[in-house]
Amino acid sequence: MLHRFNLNFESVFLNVSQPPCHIARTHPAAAHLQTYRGRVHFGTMSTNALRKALSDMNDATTEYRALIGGLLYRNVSKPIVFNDKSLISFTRSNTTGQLAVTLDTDLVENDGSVIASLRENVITLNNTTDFVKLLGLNRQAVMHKQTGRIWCDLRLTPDNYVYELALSCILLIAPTYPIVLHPDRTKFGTINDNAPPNWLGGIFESKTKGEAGAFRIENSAMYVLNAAFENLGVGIDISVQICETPSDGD
Amino acid sequence: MVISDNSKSAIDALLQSVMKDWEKLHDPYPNILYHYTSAEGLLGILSNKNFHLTDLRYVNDFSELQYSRELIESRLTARLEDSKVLSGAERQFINGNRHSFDPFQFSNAVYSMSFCEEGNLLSQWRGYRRGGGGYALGIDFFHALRLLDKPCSLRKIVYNRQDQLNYIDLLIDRFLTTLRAEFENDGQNQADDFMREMSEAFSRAVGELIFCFKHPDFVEEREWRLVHFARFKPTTDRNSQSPEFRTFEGNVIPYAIVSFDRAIEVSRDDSFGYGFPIVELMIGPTISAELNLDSVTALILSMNPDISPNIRQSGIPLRWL
Repeated sequence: MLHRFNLNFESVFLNVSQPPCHIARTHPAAAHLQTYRGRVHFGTMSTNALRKALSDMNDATTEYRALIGGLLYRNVSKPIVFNDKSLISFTRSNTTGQLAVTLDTDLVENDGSVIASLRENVITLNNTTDFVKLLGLNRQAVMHKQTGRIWCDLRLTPDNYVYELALSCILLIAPTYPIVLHPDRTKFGTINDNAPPNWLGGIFESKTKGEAGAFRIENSAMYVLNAAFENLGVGIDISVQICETPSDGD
Repeated sequence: MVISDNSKSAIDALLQSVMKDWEKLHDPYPNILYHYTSAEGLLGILSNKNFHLTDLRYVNDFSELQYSRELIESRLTARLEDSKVLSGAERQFINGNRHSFDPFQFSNAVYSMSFCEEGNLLSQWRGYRRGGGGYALGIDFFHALRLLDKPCSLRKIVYNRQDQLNYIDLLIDRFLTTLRAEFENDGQNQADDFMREMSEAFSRAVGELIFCFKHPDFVEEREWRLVHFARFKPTTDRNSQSPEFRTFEGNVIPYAIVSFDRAIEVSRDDSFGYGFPIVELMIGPTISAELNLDSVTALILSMNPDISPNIRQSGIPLRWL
């Protein structure tokens, strides 16, 4: 059962104190995935094609439906803001009407090195040594070759779907505070702690299309599952004091 | 006598080239494919976290394979009747294969499980659960296919008859071209052995066509098959994997178990980025849809509590079945 919250005020503040942790480096699936020799494709869009595609786009923040980290965002100008910086933005093609998503930050590894970028539905791989781009039907993903870990997965859906595209990715803007936009759930500053969600099953909605935010997280971790955000200025506003990168022994 | 290395390489190259082109037909596959099943089947799949792939020779409708066999035979025969420029070797190849090609020889087996592009088809509900109580399990194979415990592929079923004929004709053309080239190079020195190797390669290639063709009347199914190729030859290969066996209407049916346990396990790990592979579950027309919604939701959450199960009800009235 989804609970509906009509928000006509600036924002809701939730403070959940859970210490952030950083991503595990190995997994039992890794050995299996290393032996995979199946459908792996390489490919990037040419500069001219990218330029042409970009010139065809307009701002789509007022009308869209997207599943990001397993949560539904509908007409939310800034779905996720981290330390006053918007992480995700949308545009729409004037000719095809196709919704396009941009990650306003690069996908990076734990050490900060750039893996790939996502601009207007185009994933450009920077590190082709350790990562591979997988292509499917209206689908792109970035996979770490050795571990099989998926760092980004973008899927465009058919016209009659609840959402127009689905995006999942792991963002390590601050290594001590991972933002896990998993295909099924969203976690801020926490990972694999086997704790139930802090927020489950709510629709945060504003009928005024104002600047209101659904909620704000300050220096704390949070796990959100099965929530939807509609007609808001900001979905989730995160404010975190960035710590130093933990050493391997931590 | 064995064939020369050059001839062997030519056959290998031919087979690789044919298979590479054939793979293009099946790639990419839809992001969600649905398996229609009963309540018992659903429970078996979800509880054991595995699929049962049946040996294609024992599928419910044997006429499926017969349709393809007859089509291939007819094109080989037509080639003999129409063409006046076939060489003796080419005639020998076609004559030798048109009645005797057998993709299941040499203990080869193809295990298969059917999927559909649509998750709410009346014909499928009728076919699988005439009395109601059917389910359509929507699987996202984009990542899950790599995580199965046996190597599997997805194969798209071709329903258009002209397309089927084109694929067969193209295959015959390519085999005859290689045959012609090799006979020009090596003459008759190795004719029998070369012909036997070519026939084996041809059987393997048509083996792919046989289970991917269906009568055009079934086009609404939009079927895909999850297939696993295996060879069980315990007498000579002590490591060959034995299939499982079950009974059906007095027959002993071989099948292969393919586990997706690892796909479930990985979906529970936040850092691995893999979604829960069962992305949708459609409850077919039934009198107790609401009750089943609760039980099936609990069943799915028992596999992974960190998801929002996408369970829907078919809007099709039960009386239509």
